Amino acid sequence: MNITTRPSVCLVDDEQSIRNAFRLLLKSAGIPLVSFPSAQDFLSEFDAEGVGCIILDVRLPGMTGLELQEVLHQRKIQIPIIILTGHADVPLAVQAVKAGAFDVIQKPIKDELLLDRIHKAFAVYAESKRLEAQNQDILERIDTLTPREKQVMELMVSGKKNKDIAQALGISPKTLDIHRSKVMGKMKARTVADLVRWRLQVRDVVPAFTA
Amino acid sequence: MADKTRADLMQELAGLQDRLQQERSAIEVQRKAQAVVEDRVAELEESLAETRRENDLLRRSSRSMLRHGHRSEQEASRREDICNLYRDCGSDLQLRLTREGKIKAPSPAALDLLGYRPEELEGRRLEDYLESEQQVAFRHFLRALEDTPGIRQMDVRWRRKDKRWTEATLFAKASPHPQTKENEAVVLVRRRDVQVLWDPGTAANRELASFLAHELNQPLTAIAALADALLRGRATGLLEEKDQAEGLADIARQAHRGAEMIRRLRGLAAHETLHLARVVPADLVRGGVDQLRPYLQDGEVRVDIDLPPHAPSFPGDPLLLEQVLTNLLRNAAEAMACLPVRDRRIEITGRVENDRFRLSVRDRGPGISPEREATLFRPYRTTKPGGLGLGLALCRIIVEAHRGKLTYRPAEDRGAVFTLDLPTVTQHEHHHPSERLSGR
Repeated sequence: MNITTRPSVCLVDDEQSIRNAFRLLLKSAGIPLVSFPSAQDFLSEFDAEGVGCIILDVRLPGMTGLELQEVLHQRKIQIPIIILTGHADVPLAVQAVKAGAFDVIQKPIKDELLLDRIHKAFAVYAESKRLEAQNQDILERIDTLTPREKQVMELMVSGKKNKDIAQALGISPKTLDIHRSKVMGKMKARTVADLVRWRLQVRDVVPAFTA
Repeated sequence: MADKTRADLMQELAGLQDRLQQERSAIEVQRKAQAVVEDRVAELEESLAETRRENDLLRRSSRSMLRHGHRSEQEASRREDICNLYRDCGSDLQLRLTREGKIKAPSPAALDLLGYRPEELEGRRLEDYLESEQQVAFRHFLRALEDTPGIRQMDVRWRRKDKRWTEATLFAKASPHPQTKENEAVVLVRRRDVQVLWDPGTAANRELASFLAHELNQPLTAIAALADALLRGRATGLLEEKDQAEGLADIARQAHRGAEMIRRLRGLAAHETLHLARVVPADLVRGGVDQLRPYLQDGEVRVDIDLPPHAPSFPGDPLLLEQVLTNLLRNAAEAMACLPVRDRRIEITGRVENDRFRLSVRDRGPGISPEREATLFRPYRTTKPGGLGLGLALCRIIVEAHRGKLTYRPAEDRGAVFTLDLPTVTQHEHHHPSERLSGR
């Protein structure tokens, strides 16, 4: 990740002084900041491009930080969300984390802690983006398989022996060998372990192909 | 000559006998007359005595009537005093107090208010039930009572039988005992609603407390973050000169803001309870408008007042309610700062109906945006540069402490209308005062 693609932080806080303080704080750490005074402004103007972390004040006029978090969730925005709370509001923090918040930070903030969490959020988001790209890749490769090859892959991944697979599909071991090498080749897997890992990685997106 | 003599003598005798008879009759008549006179005299004497007696009786009875009339006049004035005391102060408990400060004839309400049956309090010294540091003050109060004709009042903490404390206000007036003429005072004891202003139970106060904790953090958060930013900027060199100057200025601004917030809250915290008295609507409005004058100096604002001519007074804290009104008027004036002077107009309208007093303040400003309306009375929400956003939140707390309501609605054509809706009867005035009085 070089400096030109450095992710930015997006802050929603109705307090102008806080927005300004965050701007300087993040600027001093070399992190760009986009800020909005309300959930409405944020929702109408927000562009997820390049944003690596969203910070929401828990109390916002009109819509609370938690409600906004829910809206973002519905919009399938995966960017990690840090919730700012004013005082030790444990139930609120728990609720936020349960609802998928990346972290909850209490005001007044400790700058080291805040920057650390922002960097962690960046890393987590980058990793999730990397995984997502990889998933996309895997899905595309799975798409190239014929229905028969998909059946073969499912049985291989489930750890069945060649003999049993051939029997289950009612094909000869030789034919199975051809299917196997096609699957390994199309999936660009060097070992069966690769295949298992990738298959598991997308199990939520692609249900098991029935044998 | 003998015959002649005898006949003469006989004649002479008959004459003498006649005369004797006449004399006797005359004497008889005289005697009778005398008796009649005597009777008459006796009669007269008797009637005179009778008249004297009657006279005496009349004199005595008229004297007694005079005395009686005087006494009932006194009684009437005493009763009127007590009536006034009731009307002006209301009460939960009534009693008389001797000049030594002993309790006499406490009403049955003592049981409810203090946990004592009336006979348990009879003859006891009132000050023995007060907090020790109030006892001296109470003695002064008692002494001052004899010298002042009016009603005096004192806030006390009265120890209940169960050792808890009842916060009460004593309203007292010197009033000599009707028969013995001894110096005594009529005392009405009214339960004081303590901590109503800061009752953590009310939603407004819970909200305020929560916002206090949360939002006093706001300037602190900004200051800390800015200072961190400046330090980091020195190390990384990523902050420009302009950023640094701006950061420092903001630190100063936020620090002052925090200090101001604390100062205001401390001022308010001194006002822990409502100091109930009679609030006269006309005085309230006049006071509020007077308070506003300093804010009006920059630009002319016309203030139109429409109050019913004889709006009755009601129980409340005149000082705090005046603060509320001043706050509303100041907001109204500030909302119109951008208008040409001729358009700046505030209308204050008072109405009395169904035991409520409603006072509206209407301005001709831009009104409140629908988004702001939802959080209008929440603490620390402000659209004013430099404002703390405490004003309306505190106003609401004060009004709710009076068991009233503070509401906003947009004016029909243009501007904002804030309405104070206050009960004109206290919570404890369930019974009509005169009923209780006649019960004594």
